[in-house]
Amino acid sequence: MKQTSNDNAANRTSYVGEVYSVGEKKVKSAVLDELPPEWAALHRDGYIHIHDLDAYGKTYNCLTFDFLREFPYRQFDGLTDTAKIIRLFGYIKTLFADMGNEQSGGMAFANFDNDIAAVYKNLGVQDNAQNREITAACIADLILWCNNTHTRMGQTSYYVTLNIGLANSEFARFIAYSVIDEFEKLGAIVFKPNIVFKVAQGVNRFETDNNFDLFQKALLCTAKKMIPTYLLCDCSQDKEVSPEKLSVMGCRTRVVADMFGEQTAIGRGNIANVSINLPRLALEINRDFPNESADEKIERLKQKWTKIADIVTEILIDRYNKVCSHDCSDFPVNCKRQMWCVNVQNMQDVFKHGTLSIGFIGLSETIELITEKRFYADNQTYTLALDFVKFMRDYCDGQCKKQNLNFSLLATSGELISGRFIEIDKSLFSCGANILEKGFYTNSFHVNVDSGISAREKLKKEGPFHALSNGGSISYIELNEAPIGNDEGLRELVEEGISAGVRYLGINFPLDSCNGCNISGVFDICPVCGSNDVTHIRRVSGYLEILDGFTNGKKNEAKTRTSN
Amino acid sequence: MNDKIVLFDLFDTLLIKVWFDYDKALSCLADKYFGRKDELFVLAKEYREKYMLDRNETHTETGFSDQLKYYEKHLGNKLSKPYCDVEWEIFSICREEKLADGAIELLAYLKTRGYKLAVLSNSIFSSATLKKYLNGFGLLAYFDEVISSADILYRKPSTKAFDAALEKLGAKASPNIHFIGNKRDKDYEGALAAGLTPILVTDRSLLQIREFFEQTYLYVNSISERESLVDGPGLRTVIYFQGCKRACKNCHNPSTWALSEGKRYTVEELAKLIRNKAANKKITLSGGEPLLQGKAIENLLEWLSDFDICLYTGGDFDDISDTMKNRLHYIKVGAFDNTCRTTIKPFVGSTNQEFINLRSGK
Repeated sequence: MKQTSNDNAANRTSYVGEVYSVGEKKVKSAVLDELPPEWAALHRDGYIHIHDLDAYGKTYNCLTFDFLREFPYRQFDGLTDTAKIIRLFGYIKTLFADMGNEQSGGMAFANFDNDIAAVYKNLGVQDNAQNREITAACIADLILWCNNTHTRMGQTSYYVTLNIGLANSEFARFIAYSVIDEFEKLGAIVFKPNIVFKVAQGVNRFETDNNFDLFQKALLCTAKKMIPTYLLCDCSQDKEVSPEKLSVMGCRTRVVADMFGEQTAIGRGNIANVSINLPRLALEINRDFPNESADEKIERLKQKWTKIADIVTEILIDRYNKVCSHDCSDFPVNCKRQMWCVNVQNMQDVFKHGTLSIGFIGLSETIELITEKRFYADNQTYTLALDFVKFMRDYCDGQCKKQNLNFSLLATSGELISGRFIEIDKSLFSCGANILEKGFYTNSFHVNVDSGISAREKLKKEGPFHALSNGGSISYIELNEAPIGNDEGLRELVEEGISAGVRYLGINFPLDSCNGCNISGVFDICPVCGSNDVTHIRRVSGYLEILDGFTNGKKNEAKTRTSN
Repeated sequence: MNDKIVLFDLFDTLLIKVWFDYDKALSCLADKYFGRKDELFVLAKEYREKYMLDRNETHTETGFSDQLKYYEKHLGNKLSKPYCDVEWEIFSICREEKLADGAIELLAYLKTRGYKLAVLSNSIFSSATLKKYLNGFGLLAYFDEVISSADILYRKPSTKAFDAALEKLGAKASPNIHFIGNKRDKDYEGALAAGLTPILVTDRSLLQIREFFEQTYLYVNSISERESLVDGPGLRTVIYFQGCKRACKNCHNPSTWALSEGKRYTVEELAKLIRNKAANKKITLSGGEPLLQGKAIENLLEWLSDFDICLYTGGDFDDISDTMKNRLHYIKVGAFDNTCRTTIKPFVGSTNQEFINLRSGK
């Protein structure tokens, strides 16, 4: 069966998947038809993108599990250590499979190493050689399950993120070690789940820290496989928050501040997000007011954006209210397993802790259209760009107070919309041709992928935008080839990221794997066995995917990438 | 910075006088062309007093052909051959020179590294004659220009003489251009006044001058704009040195092969540039084959003694001097072999190459 669409990067096909795809399109269209026409038009015309439209009003986006709060210890009574371990990992897999079909986005453990060790401790599982061996095997099995299972929506894999690195016991350290070690040993072709290493001083960041060895191991694995990525707990934005409370979805979602509780990611997630097509606004301004100065145009941009953002706010609130109108029967597994931060009475008690995010894409193109310069070209232009993002953030903060809900600003990933927006804009505008020709818009506030600037410089330029994007952000370093064995260099990048204010850091490089002999590198024909049966693995929206499954926008972007 | 140009004085710099006998030239001239030997000698004395004695004050030149014309006029008979032929005949008969020690070595080094070379000689004989003479010593091929004061009519130390030579090379005066000569007043002072950097062969032998060049200058293809993560541990600024003779198949830097290309830096200039670029003090010396510039690189290592430095050579471990090894942190040895390429062994291109940490265990 041929894949029917490339709407989503992680898709595979099956009969159920095909039925889902057909249904999804109908549902999406029905959702749009039921929305106020003005809202639907904004989405259809490419001013905005309502993410996960099929889930509109039905479910929320993503969740970091509050795994320990109501853990069902009783179910493990009377089992041997071996059985407990096997059943625990079985429980987790079932949880992923069930939850993955109850929500539209990703699932994460904020502290996979400590959570598992804590469960072990409460279950009385001893730290001994045999239990370690079984644990390592179960971890390998869980990794393979995440990589090989495509039953979500009958066609795609589960977006799972395991945050590790803060391990505070010997067994927890072993679990963190095994997650990296087993993932590394499984070779390039296994590229899920997403593993995030949380870097924190006093824990693992420096040579003298207890888990520095885990940090080094993580870096060496990244050098081979692009995973783990790094959550920089000491960055300016998050350093006041306890690292245990921080977590990231593979896609980049950040959930920290809560108007209704403590600052934490655990048991919370994003409810919904809507992204705004910034270059569209700039294209319209250039068309309607070609002779105005850059400052005048920026003012117009702010006005136009606010108009759209007002509607986006209404959409997010509508979606929030609709999700809240459901009850426990619509989220049976989650209500039973209690992965949320509070026990469910009514859904609003739960979802008010979630975030509503306003996203943006193409800051680089927008500033270039208005100033004819890349936003990082000089201080003046850079300040202009930063001020504009600050303006968007202030708006979101304002909505928190006005609406009494957790609004946040999301530095949206490029996946899907980078191609969708530009296709529509191409059909509408003849000016700005250079920007439209390349076939994609640049991810959030990222420096253009063809900038050619150094890695350090890129991090320095992007850092300040992280602090403003409180709904989530990531910086990528693009390399020509795998930095095999260079933990030292990657660590320098992590340090540079921390001092620049980067919150979440990913290392990208072309990763081609020979299906004949498992050798990886950068090639179309395997240099060892000569086979042309080669899988090309690249990062999309935070998760690694096989290149053939890329959406068109992403393919265009991958072609244009130059290394930092 | 990139003025790869050296000017040379000729006599007693590149060619050392064995004997010179002007009277012999005049006798020959009389015997073969004019007869009337006594009269010719008187005329020659007259000519010298009239036109040649003040040359060192006026820094102007009067060529041998003018002298011949003077004799023709006063003796009343025409030469039976063109002036240039007569000049060459007379020139060769009155002298003997030998090649200075180290001349070929110095010239060959400079020529290989892509320098433009020129002779600027104070001589009454034309450049055509000097070229013929140089050719006999196998030196002519090294030079882009041979300039005689007889042609340009100015003599060193006149700045005009140096300027005329530079103009022929399409260059402008610069302290980066060296002038190598033997006379303090004419060569050294003159070159200095003309804005060049002089070296006297009376201070240093030609072999020492070659050593000076080898120790002072580095030839660089490029310096990485972005730090590399695949040229040794850490984020490393890579200096690609110019020149390699190995010609490995599928080399990914063939533009670094030609020895004559590349930008020239003094060790000091390059050290300062690197200090500016590599904030984390981690660099990799690659190429090209850096060991072809081993002496200057040893000096560079001295300048950057607080740096973490990695050397990529296609040579063997034993090709690297102990001085260098003491200053280096890492080395990659072995030539790239296209038949055993690797993408999984850290920091090397093919499995036969070795990446060595010289400080491990210290």
